[in-house]
Order: sequence, then structure tokens, then C-alpha cells
Amino acid sequence: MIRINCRILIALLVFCAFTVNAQKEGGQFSLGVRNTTSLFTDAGSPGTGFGGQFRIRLGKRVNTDWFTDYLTTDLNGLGYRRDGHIGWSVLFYLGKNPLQSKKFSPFVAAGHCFDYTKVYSLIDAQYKDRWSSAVQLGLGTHYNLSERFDATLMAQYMNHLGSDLHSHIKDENGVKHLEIEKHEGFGLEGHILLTLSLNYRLGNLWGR
Amino acid sequence: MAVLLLFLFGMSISAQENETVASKGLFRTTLTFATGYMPANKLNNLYLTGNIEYYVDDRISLRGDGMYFFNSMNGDKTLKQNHSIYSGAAYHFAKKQFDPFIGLQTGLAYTQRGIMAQGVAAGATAYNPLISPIAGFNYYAPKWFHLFINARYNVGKHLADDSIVPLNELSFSFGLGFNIK
Repeated sequence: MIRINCRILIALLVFCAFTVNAQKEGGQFSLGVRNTTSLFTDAGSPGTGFGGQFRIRLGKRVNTDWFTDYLTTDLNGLGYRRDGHIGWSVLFYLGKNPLQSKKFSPFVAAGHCFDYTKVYSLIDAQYKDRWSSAVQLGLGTHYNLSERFDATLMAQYMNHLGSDLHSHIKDENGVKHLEIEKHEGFGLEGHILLTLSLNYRLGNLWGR
Repeated sequence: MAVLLLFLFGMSISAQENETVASKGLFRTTLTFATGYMPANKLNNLYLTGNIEYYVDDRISLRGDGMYFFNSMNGDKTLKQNHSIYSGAAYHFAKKQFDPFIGLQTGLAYTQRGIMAQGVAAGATAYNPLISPIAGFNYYAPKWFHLFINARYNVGKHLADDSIVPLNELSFSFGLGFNIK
């Protein structure tokens, strides 16, 4: 399954690189800030995130996002989870003429990131953490408020490829505490990320 | 209030009527005090706050803010530190001197729980993400200065090794800002 995911991503990248690189819209460079909300984690409550990104457009219908996120999640008042992401996504625009002012530009996104996760239990004063990588796939849209500025809403499913780290609430003699489990080896753990970002195009790295 | 009305009147009669001051290329900055209310903790907080803002378009500005936490004014020690920085953008509906806006910023708060009882040390510090919508208006004089009112709602939580404290807060600031174009 994982090998298939990776192959699809690599194929998508190669396709992008070879089909759109020469187009005149390539080279646009944007800088942005983002808020990310993490949903459907084992925490049972959403996490909130702070982050930033830059974009390098490869062609008329292909853009790339290079992002970093720092997310924290309250684990039912018994502990917290912290996630750090640093990675990239390829955005493939569904419309023929994307990024026009005062219009929506829907896209499909796929990419990869490296991440760090720490889960901490307040009562036990213990934590477990892990480094892993992840692949993400999603849908989103820019709304282009002007030629250079857009607001972007994106929903992605992020699948972590590494050891499994999760927590659950355990009730011992009426006292609830957070039990953290880390299983070495290869696990699949996923969550949905909703990202709202604001981006401003500073200029062109190449092309016009 | 009387001073405020006089100030507004003075600015309005001296401004050029047909020119929208808040437009592409305008740079503005402010420094003032802000008060905030955290409904979950019933805390009234006091901050020193400032921002810098640049209008990249007649309607859109990029904006960075900072808030330095002084104390909770009602003597509550739930929070010892709650400083924050923000960056984002605002959309403006400017007409002549009047410049209402809405915006969204992403923020990062540096927080620490306070000393809740004698013999108990202050809590662990933590960096916590914030989602922070803003709204308000600026009222410009022809040159250099403007009056501003700003409202902000923070969504976030202090998640540290020893405590969890909601940071949701509605804050207000107003004052005189400096602008140049």
C-alpha cells in the first residue's frame, strides 16, 4: 500500500516536472502564513497549528507548496500532543486558467513531509515521541483576492509512515489518566488537516 | 469621549475629501495598550501591543502584530506570561479617510501558568499556536497620523507539562498610529 502511494507521488512529480516546467507562468514565488487544524486524531478534539509556507509555481496548472507547521492538541485535559511538520506538496489546478483575480482556483494536492510527534501525559509526567515521515493527499482552492494575493482553504489526509504512537484514556480506581503507546516497526496512522492560508506573490524566480 | 469627537472633527475638516488615504503603498504602525477578556478563566488582561502594516493593494495589507502581557488586572494569577506574535493579512473597505477592515492572522503565544498558591512554583512555559481573526477601522488624517480601533479574538490553549489553560480571548485596543506613503 505504502509502496503504491510513493509510486503514485513520484509519478505525479515526474509528470509535473516534464509537462509544465517550460510554461511561461513558471517561476512565480509566493510567501504565506497558515493556520492548520488537525481533525479525527485519537485525541478526540481538534488541534490548532501555526505555520508558514512558500510557493514556487512550475507551470500554468502546477504549483508547489513548501510548508512548515507546529500543531498542539489538548488530549481531553489529561495531556497534550505536539506535532511538527516540514514538507512539500504539488498542487495541480483543475481549471484551465487558474489564479485569476476574483476567482476560485480549485486544485488537487499531493506531497510528502517529515514530522516529529510528542505525546505527554500530565498525571504521569511522562512522554513518548517519534520522528517519522508522512504522505498527504487532498483537495483545496485558492480564492484570488487580487492578482498577487490569495486565501487558500485545503483539506488533506496525512498518513504517517513510521512507528505507531497513540494514546487513550485509562480509568484506574476512578482516576483517569492518559496511557501512551508506542509500537516500533511500521505503522499507518492518519489524520485530516484543514489549512487556511494567506499568500502573497512577491515576484518571479525565473520567467517573466 | 469629547476629546475623541474633537479629534475626529479636526481630522475630518482638514482632510482632502476625495482622496482615499488607505491605498497601495501605505505603511502604518502603532503602539498602544490593549485589554483582553478570557471568558473561560474570567480573566481581564492588560497588554502592550503594536503592529506594522503595509498595503500591497488598495484593498489588501500584510500585517504583523505583537502583544506583551503585563498582568491580569483582576489580581488573578492563572497566567504569569502570555506574550504573542502574529502575522497575516487584512482586507480593507476604505473610503476617503475611513478604513474599516477584517483580517486573519496566525499567531504564536509564549505562555506560563502563574503561582496559584504559596509554596507552589510557577508553571512550565510553552509555545502555543493561535488562530486570530481581527476587525476594526482606521481613520486617517491627511498626513502622518490616524486613529484606530482594533478588535481581536484569539483561539488557542496553553498546553504545558503541568497545566492546560484555555487562551481564548477577546481583546481591544485603540489609539493614535503613524502612517507614511
